[in-house]
Amino acid sequence: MNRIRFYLALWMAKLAVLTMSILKYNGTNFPGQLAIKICPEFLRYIGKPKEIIGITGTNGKTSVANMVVDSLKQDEVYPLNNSFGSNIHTGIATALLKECNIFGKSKKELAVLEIDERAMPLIMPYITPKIMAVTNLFRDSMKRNAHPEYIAGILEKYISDDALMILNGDDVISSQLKKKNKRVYFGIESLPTDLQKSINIINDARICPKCHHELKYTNVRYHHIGRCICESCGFKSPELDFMGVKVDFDAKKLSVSYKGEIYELPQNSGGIHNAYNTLCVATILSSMGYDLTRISELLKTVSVVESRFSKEKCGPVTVANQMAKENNAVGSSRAFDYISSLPGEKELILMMNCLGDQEHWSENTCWLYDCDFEFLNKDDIKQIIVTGPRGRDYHLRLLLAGVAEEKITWIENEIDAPDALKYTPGESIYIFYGTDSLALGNRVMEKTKEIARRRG
Amino acid sequence: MKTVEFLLAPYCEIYGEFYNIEYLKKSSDKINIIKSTHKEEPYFVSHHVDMIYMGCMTEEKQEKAIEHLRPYKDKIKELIDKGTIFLVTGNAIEIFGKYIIDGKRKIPALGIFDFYSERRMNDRHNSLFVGDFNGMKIIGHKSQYSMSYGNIDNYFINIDRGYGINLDSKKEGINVKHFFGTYSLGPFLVLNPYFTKYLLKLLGITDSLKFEKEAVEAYEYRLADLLDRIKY
Repeated sequence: MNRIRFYLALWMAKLAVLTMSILKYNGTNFPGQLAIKICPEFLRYIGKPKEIIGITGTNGKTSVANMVVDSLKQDEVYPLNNSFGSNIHTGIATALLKECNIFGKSKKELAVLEIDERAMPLIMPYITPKIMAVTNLFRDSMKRNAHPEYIAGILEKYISDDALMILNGDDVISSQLKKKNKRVYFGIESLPTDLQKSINIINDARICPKCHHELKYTNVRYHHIGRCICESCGFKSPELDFMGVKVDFDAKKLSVSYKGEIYELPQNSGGIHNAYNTLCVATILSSMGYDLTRISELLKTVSVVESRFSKEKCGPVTVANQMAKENNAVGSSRAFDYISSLPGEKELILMMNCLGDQEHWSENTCWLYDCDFEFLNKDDIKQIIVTGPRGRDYHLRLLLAGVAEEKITWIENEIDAPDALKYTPGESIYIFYGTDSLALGNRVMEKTKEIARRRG
Repeated sequence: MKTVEFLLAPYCEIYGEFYNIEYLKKSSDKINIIKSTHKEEPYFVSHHVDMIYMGCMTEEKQEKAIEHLRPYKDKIKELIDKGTIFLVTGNAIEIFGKYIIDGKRKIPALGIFDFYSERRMNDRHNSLFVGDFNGMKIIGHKSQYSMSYGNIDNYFINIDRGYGINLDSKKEGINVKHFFGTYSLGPFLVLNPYFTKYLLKLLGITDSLKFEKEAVEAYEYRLADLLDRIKY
């Protein structure tokens, strides 16, 4: 009976894929949704590639998964992947069914899957990655993910005991996962910009996981990412297998020490979080059998996808979008830190409103007080436009972060925000929006570009 | 100077709770903040405090917090009876009840108030509420795995829109003398400027809030939004 249901689900879903392809409506997980609706155990029966690489974690998993897939394509390896769909069970079902024949047998030998950490209970009973990479674990949407301890518990329970773990050795939380599994650590030993204490509001790993005394950080990059020791019990950050030894964002190079040799990798995207993404990608590729010299070649043309960050010169100014996930204080803090560190005068539009929540009730605003708006208190940020349903809340938060009142402009509707920009020649305009406001964000960006071009 | 103890600070700031203390500090230079940790005796045990704050924590830390505070249960009762201000937000409120049920486990809490809580780790509850306290509209955010039950005569907030301490209740939190406990988590004081002014007044401080005008504007906007959108 289950098999009959499965075939019915598969064929209906394949028909949906075909119809949507004719209608040019791709990039949705509807076929997978339909398949699971008809056959709840669809993921159990659908054929899977022999080798599956899973990538999860709070931040960076999309970038890492896309970079791994893009690198493999450079080598003419085309893995099954979910980069155009979602990372929950329905998205993975869609990716699998698109790449199987009408009998449900997979046509691919290799899969690279981005897996949402919260969706693991629905995915991992049926999908067994041979290699499992965890980029990091941070505080995320409280509504969905509760807290990192809760998510770590899910990962601990659902990741196979046989998976090779690729872990961020500079993250006290995720580096402690699956202690009995074989593991490879990536990280950065020290950087000239390291701090001895986290300056971020969020530090989810203040306490030693062994003895619960306060941890002492020797090299902090951001939040709890860095090297630490416990002076009470001797616990310390693990030894790194892939060790970043130098990051030069101007030269777009990342030097890595591996088995006593130094290799140079391309670092095409700025921001220390992107250096961690590159290290994670290199560690995954190395675990797949690629040598570092080849990895360096493969990474040359690979960078972060445009929906996350892109910029364009328009008339007298440069207009850029910056993904800052709503309800994710760490993601937005990273984005604020990165943009504020870039040279030159800037104007910003903040519109990371959770529009999904707004449809039903209103957004939980607690995350604004976990997020480091303090990074936006910089002389070269000339104006910050706060807009959308939470515009007033951003206004107050920016004031509390020390931003001068005269720099903040409240505009009720997002689409009107570009009209209030000054378009000072030579400046950059950054539009911050999240996944929920992606479509609206694109409209705001297009309007900004249009006005900028007219000014030119 | 008024002394405010941020009790078990390393445990109790997982959803922006840090800003409750920060907002008090920014609003008045007459406030001295003492952060105490799980590795030391609470400051209130041997020093005078005017206010104690405790915020939301993970379930594992909540159980450790109960054990840490158990030896000081009588002192806590004494302070509540004496009228010391307590602000307890999120699941920290459960520490003051009789016990917490988690599956087959029954975790004894401090037993200061007559209620118990029940955790369901696969059933996260998210909601917002608007309620009344002392003529003020209070806004709250909930995101939790547990609900509370029992005979709470002295509730804190009479819910107008949203849920109380459980899905069948329109009564939220506890208010005994100057003990204010609510499931609302995060930066409760930033979100509720009128209540914060009330709290400062209880502390004997009549200063304006930091950015009071903008805080009230944000509150009024959010309040109208919630009243418009929460239908239950």
